[in-house]
Amino acid sequence: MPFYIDKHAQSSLKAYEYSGTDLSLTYKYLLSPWAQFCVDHFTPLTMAPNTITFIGLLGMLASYLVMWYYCPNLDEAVDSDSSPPSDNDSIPRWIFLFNGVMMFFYQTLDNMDGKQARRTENGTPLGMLFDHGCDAINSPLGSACWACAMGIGPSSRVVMFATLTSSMIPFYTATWEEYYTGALVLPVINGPNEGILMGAALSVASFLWGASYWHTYSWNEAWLGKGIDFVVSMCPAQLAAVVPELGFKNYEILVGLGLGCAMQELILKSVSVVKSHGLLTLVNQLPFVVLLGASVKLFSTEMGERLLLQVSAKWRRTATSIHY
Amino acid sequence: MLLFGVLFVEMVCALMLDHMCKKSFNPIRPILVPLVAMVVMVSYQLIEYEVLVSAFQMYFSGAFVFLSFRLFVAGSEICEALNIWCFDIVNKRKKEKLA
Repeated sequence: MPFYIDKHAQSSLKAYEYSGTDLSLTYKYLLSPWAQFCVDHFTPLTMAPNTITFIGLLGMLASYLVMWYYCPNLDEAVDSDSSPPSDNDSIPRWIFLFNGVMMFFYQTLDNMDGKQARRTENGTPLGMLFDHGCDAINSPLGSACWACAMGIGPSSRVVMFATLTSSMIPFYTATWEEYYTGALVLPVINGPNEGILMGAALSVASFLWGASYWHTYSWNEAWLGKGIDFVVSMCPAQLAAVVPELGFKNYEILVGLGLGCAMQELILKSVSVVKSHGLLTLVNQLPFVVLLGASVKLFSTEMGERLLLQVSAKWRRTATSIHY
Repeated sequence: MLLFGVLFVEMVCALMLDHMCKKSFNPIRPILVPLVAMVVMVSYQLIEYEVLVSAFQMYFSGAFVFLSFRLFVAGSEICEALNIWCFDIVNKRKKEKLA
């Protein structure tokens, strides 16, 4: 007696056909040909597409576990007590290189599974669910690895939360849009392609220049420069007070850009779906809004903050006991 | 952070599965109820800190086990419905007959 898949669901599943469009130029000219090359040259015909997806997820899990082992609190890579913040020498830098390589490995395998399914004529709705389910699991794991590579931990809760949500917002919005329109449309710049590539580049940058690189003001000085002074002078006093005196750190600019892109996708897709399917569609965004709101509210209270720090300390003790 | 991830994966997978099965998605997720209850109790100081820590740990463990079990059951049922294996494309699956 099936629990989730009843008779009606079975017939719908059998009739289901995936409809998706990836408008990314990076995917079209770089990542897709590379994945096709790997499928044609290195993948046996007997290998199931889901196995390929699962191997990619295992790579990301391995990367996350290595990160957790060395940086259970996410911010250990940077010694923020020193001024300016410096790299913590006890954290080996190869973990960031490993993470960057694993992200590219995951992305390649994620692109390969669909091609292998078409090659072996084994495309099924299960493959689509498995592929996107693994992407969903990878989303918080990848975000945690990025936070770790930039040395963002519970001490800067707002930025840590923004790092985490910047990959989840577009993911939930795209799935929500697909639920109504029946098609998954990835824009010209999207998370699974450019997002993961940038995440891998971020980790490699931490390997090359250290995680403390993200705590410098070099981007602020090079790009924003006097422009930000001008913007601040035009803003109301309350808004101008939010801008730090020294400007923004590199990681703040990067996370801000990521969150900006995520919000832009959320707004555009929401407007498009509401126009075509009505205002009631927004009800299905409710669980995600509740999750975001409740998490922000919980960890903005004094008790919630203590809880976050205590859980972090517990992670640290567990990792340390394994370490020694 | 991991709890946040677990709750996210649960709702996204439910949305995807309901889309494929042409079922209506239930926006009221029972798995979120303990989180909302914790927020309300913390906001109105109805809970002691030690109890909150224990409740949080139990919630995380429970949510993780629930999600794993749910994904496993849903995956198995899809395989059965489509008469395929998840990780094997060489050997054909035989239709299972009830005894």
